[in-house]
Amino acid sequence: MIDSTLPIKNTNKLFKERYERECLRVNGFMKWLMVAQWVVGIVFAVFYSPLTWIGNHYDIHVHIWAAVLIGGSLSSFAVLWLHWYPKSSYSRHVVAAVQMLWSAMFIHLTGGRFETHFHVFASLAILSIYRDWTILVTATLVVAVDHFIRGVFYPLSAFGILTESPYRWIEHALWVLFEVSFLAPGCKRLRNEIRELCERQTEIEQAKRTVDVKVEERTHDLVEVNRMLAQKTSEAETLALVAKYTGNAVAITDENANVEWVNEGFTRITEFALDEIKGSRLTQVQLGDKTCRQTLGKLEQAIKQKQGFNTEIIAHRKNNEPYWTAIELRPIVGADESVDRFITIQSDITSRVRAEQENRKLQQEIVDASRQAGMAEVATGVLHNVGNILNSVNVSASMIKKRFTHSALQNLEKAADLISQHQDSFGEFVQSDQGKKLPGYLITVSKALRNEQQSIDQEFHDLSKNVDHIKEIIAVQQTMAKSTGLHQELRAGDILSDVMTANKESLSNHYIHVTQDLEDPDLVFVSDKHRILQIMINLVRNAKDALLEAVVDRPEISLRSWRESDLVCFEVADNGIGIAPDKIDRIFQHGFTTKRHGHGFGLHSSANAATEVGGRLVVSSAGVGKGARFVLRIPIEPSKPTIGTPDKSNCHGVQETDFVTTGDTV
Amino acid sequence: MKARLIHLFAFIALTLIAAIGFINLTDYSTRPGASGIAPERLDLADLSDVSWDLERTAGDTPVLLFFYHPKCPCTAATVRVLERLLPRTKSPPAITAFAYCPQDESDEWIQSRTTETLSHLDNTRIVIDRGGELSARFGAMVSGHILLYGSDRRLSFSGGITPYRGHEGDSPGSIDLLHRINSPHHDCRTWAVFGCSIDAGREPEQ
Repeated sequence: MIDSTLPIKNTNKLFKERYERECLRVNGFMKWLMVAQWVVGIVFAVFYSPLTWIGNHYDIHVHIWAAVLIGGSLSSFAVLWLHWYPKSSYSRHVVAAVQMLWSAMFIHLTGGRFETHFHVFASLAILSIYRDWTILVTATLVVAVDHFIRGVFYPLSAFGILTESPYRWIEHALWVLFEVSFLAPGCKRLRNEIRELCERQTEIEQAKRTVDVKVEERTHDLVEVNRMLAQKTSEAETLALVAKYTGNAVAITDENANVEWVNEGFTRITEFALDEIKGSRLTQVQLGDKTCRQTLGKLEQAIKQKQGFNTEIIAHRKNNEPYWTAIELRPIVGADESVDRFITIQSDITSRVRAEQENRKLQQEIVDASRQAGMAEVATGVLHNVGNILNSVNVSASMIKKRFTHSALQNLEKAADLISQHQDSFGEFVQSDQGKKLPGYLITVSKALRNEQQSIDQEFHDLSKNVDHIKEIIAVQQTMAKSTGLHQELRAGDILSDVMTANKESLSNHYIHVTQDLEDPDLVFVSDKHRILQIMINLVRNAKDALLEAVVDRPEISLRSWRESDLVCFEVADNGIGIAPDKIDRIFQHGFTTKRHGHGFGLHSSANAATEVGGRLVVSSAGVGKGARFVLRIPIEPSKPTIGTPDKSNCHGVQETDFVTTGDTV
Repeated sequence: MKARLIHLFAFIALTLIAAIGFINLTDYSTRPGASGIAPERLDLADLSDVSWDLERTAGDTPVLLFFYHPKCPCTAATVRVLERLLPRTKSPPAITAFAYCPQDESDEWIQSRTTETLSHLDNTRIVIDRGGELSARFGAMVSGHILLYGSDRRLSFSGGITPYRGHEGDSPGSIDLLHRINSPHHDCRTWAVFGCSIDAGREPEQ
């Protein structure tokens, strides 16, 4: 809502300010005028009437004192008033009155020269520069009052005669009024002109304010536009840097894939400069005999359908050199929401493709090598485990051979030969002393044969079990990759018994004392028997080898079995060579061994087997020469989770290495 | 408040100074000087010791005797009035200006703007009045005193021709003088004279 009186108020305010400023300027002039008049008055007095004479005696003329005192008081009055009340409208009237009194003063001081009377009218003109006609009235009144008073009290001084008309002062005042009648309208007109100027200025300022507001709004808009332009320019510069220095080939085409612009990367990759291919169809530029026509067709189809397309294709450089390029085609939507351009970003992927090809080839080689290594590992495991059993088989076979070699059958054959020699006289022979001993001899032989038979039966039984074990090992190894194991109910006592059976001869041959300690021989658990036997037999065999290497006085192997919560534990401990602290961490690693003729496979496969049955195999040793202790912990139920926390409750000051299920660890 | 009082007192003081000054100045300007008795006929005046032959010089024209003090600033106004009157006369009178000169001063003492101006007036002669003796004989005690003797050598006018002291312009005296020069009058009229005393020893009490 615009205040309609606002321009008027502004004009009044502006006029007041300007008029006050103008009055202050005139006031300054008037101050100097007052001082100047005072000085001039004194000069006049000094010039015209410096001395008053009586004969040859003289004195300072009254005019001198009048000029100094009256003139000084008049000018001081005006100057002080203007100084103390510069903005008061009364100040102008004071100046007018004083100025007219100065006219009277000058007339006096100059001896009433006619020319000096012009000071009255000059003063009126001077006062008119205030542009205030009212002060001219004041001036006129001062003249009138002055003449009136003089006419009354000193008529001679005013009119030169004593009996002048009482209205003569009016005539003088009228002459003044005559000039005032011209000056006053002039003053008013000048004042109105100033006011009109103020009105014009107000209008101009109002218009300027309006324009300023619009300019400010436009400036604000321009600033915003400039800011956005600067931002866009910055982005464009950034994008230009990207387009210029990127290793990718960037091309911008029209809607028909005709090249409009390419970056330096494009030239670098394709060797085509912009001038050479501008306007050419992009798909034709890089076309070559090795380019896949089918992929190219799909690319053309995407261009035709104004769709984006990503592909990898063999393109050709300018020198027809083929190279692999990854093309990213993106349509650019114009202002009319239609695709009017395409941008393609291409990268030379020849090195990557070749690397991928090499990688695939290498991977195939690794797979083949892994397969071969796996087969070798399986074979090694089979041979190792079967070898351990074969030792027992060999021992059994040796025992059987030994039995047969030293069989009591020879004694029976001797008895048979003796009977055969006395076949004809067998009765007599029987009666002889030698014959009488024959029955006893036969009985003894029979008993020996019986014992021999029983021993051989036992060996055959063990041999049969070992052969079965070999068969099962082979079967297990054959199915190791996919086998989940054959779980069955097992008794801890049977496990230790089977382990002892498998190593019995070997241990007894080396006079190794074996102690068994079963907390609960009837402790039943469900697991893969053969894997557990594989582990335990391997551990006992390693213990035997450690004892043989240590050459101790009382070689001893301790087999223990106990239950911990839902675990069944088997321990194989010896007082053999032990394990050095710096080696114990690697004891389960594949290929690591402390034995002179070892392969580093036994403990590795045992640990793997323990993991496969959900258990854990840990080792501890107090050091070299202080024996070693292996503990196999197996879940009582196969569904129990894999053990993750090693039990070191029995490892007082002994370094223990844990083997847990960590796939790649082995 | 204190400042306003100071302003008020200052303005009152200045106003009083100006007012009193104007009153005194006006009073001073309007106060006429003393006059003596001039000879009614020119031939009755004792001019035996005057080297200048007044009768022979004047002929039949009126004789205007102008007594002045060369240094009196107020007399300048009388001379200017006289300057303006002479062109208006039918026949200029024979003017004799008696310039007061102290006894112990040389003749150069009378040189002044007034003397200079008078010397340029037509038909005017300046006579040095040593010690104011001649002025005394003609009863002129104040500078600017004019005596007009008609063609019949009778005193027709005696007094000043300025409205008040040191103020030029038409005055009743100047107008009367002009009339008496242009048309002889048998009576004599006296007017107030404004100016410095010609000789202190002879100035009567005011």
